[in-house]
Amino acid sequence: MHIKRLATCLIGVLLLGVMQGGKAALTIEITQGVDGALPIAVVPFDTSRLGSKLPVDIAAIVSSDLNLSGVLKAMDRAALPANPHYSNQVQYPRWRSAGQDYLVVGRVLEESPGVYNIEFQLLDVLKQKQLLGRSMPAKKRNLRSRAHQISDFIYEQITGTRGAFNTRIAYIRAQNDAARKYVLQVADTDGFNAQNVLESDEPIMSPSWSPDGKSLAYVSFESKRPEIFIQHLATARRSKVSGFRGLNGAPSWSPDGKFLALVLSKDGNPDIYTLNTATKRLKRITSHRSIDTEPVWSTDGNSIIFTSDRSGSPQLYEVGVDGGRPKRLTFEGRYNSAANISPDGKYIAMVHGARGQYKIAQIERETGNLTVLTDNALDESPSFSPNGKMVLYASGDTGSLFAVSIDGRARHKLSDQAGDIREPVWGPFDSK
Amino acid sequence: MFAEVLRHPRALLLSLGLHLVVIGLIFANFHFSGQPEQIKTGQVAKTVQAEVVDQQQLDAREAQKQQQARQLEEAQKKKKELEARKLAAQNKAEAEKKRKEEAQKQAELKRKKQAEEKRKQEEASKTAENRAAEQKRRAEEARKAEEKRVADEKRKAEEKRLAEEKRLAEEERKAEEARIAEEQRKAEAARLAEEERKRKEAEERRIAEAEQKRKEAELKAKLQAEEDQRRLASLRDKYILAIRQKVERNWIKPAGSGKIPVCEVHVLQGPGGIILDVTFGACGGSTATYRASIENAVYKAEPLPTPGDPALFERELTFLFSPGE
Repeated sequence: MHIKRLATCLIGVLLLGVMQGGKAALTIEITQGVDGALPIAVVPFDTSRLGSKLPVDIAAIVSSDLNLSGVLKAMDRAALPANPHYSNQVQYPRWRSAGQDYLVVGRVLEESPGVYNIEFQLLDVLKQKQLLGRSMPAKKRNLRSRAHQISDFIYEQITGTRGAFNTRIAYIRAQNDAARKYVLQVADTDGFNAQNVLESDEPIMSPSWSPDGKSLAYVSFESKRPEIFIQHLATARRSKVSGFRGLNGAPSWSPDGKFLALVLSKDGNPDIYTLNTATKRLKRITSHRSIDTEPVWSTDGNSIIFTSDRSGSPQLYEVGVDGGRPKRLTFEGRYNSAANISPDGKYIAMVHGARGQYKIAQIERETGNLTVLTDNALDESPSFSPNGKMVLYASGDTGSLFAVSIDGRARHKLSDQAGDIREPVWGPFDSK
Repeated sequence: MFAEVLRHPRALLLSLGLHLVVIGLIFANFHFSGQPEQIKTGQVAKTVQAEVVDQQQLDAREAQKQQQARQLEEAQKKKKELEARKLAAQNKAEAEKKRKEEAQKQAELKRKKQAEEKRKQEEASKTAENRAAEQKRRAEEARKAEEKRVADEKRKAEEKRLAEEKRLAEEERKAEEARIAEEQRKAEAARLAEEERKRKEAEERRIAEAEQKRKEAELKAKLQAEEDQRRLASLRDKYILAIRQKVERNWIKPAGSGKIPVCEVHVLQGPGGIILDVTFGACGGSTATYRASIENAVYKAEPLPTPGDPALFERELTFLFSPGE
């Protein structure tokens, strides 16, 4: 009888242990969240002690950047409950009540005319503590860049991922002035600070960033036929690297910066070649009677992914840099082209055409799973941000710049600029 | 004979004593007769009367003294004569007496000799008599001894029989005693056993009753516990739901959450649902953004709802965040 009771007790204890699951007694499953971005308030930086009005609204740039990421959502400036500039002025409950998780306060001090010091703090409203504090020198001409840097700091502090706000993009703009004009431009990620790399009356196509971010390769029709040039951005010096008979197109830099993959039709149909930029040695990678185009390098530089209609419609294929039989990568949809490899090599962004609509999609290389990121009708030229979190693309009949988060949830049009913008490419981290 | 004598020491002692008295009497007689009788001569003592007298008296007295001295001398002379006559008479009596005594002695000896002879004659006859008596006595003794032996044997046999009977009786008595003792012991044991049985019965009854009571109490407690359990389980479900809903209301799932596996989050809360600590358990493959969103959701849900019964309050909560589809 006693043994029985003891056994009962033991079972009870065990059950209790099981029920309590060790130490934590209550286990609560959370599955229903609100899709959205983490709320952050960026209070306008204090500029009251400056001799002249600052030409740049740092807080606005930061807010815009963070909104672009899709991860953070900056509070509408009009809704800010207070206007603190120092962390010790912050009344956390007010920001908590306003539904904010994070708060950025800052001020700009003028060391000497045109020489500034920007100070800011990132505060955790919920834990009521500072997460980050920086002080950075600035000059009038790099104030925007400093603002993007602040965005990068904040983004990295919260997400653990390096920010890509302070990088540059390149794109082709077609201007419909008196005469049609083409401009190769380089700009900040938000479209500001645009600078002309090349202006031409003839089409310019397929810009490609060198891995060091210092040069661009592109196709120019300035001689009435397509030729490939490499241009050093800082010096504007350029050289023609490919001017073969027929088509010279779609240059793409190898990860080590020593080769260009390109499309030549000098031997008949357009095929993929590689060009040693130093030795000018050319190597044919594909040889097929169909069209092979838009080559891009895998991140390890061992293979090239390209578009081919060898199956009847454009699809993506992969081939080793030493040639061989290409392997088809895309099977879903009648149209998949314009591949762009994510920096970690795990995803391929592309234009995915279905039912007469062309959208940006990505496939996961490991599984082949395809995810459509955009829902416009005419999207083109996807390009991963250097941190792999965003995809830049052009859209619409009158081409505009857009960026989408890689899960497709955050889509933002970059600053409105006049003209038809095509073929944007996101530069590397060092593109500045 | 000697053994016979030894067997009767009193007779021997009596005989010895008698002989000694006789011998003593013989000696005493001889002695007394041999000792002459001493005749004591009585002393004449006269006391002198002293008186105080004068000269005349002294002269007179001298004269008197002389007178007296002469008288005295006279007296003494007479006395001596008397004594001499007396002594002569005495000697004569003495001799006479001796002669008579001698004659008497001769007569005595003669008588004694005759007595001796007579005694011897008597003794001789007596010895024969004695011998016959002795024989008779011995025969008697033998008979008596035989009788005694037979009697002894008979007595001994009787004694033995009696002893045997006694022994048997004793044994029987002892056996009986033992039997009785055994019976008593058994009776006692039976009594004790009965007592023990009764005691045990009482104890068992008591235990059974206690057990019954305990079971009833247990059942009651169990029912109560089940009821409490149901009530608590209900409140517990409500508690969990309240926490869940509040956290979910505050959870902003950031971009790129779709592919993240389940994140385990341990929350330490204080009284009133104040959050003391948030730590991540297994959260493989998650991004910092995702973890931040979870942490923020928990902090924004502060104060966490409190349970309907304080007993349900748990300091440690485990959240399993999964982004769902």
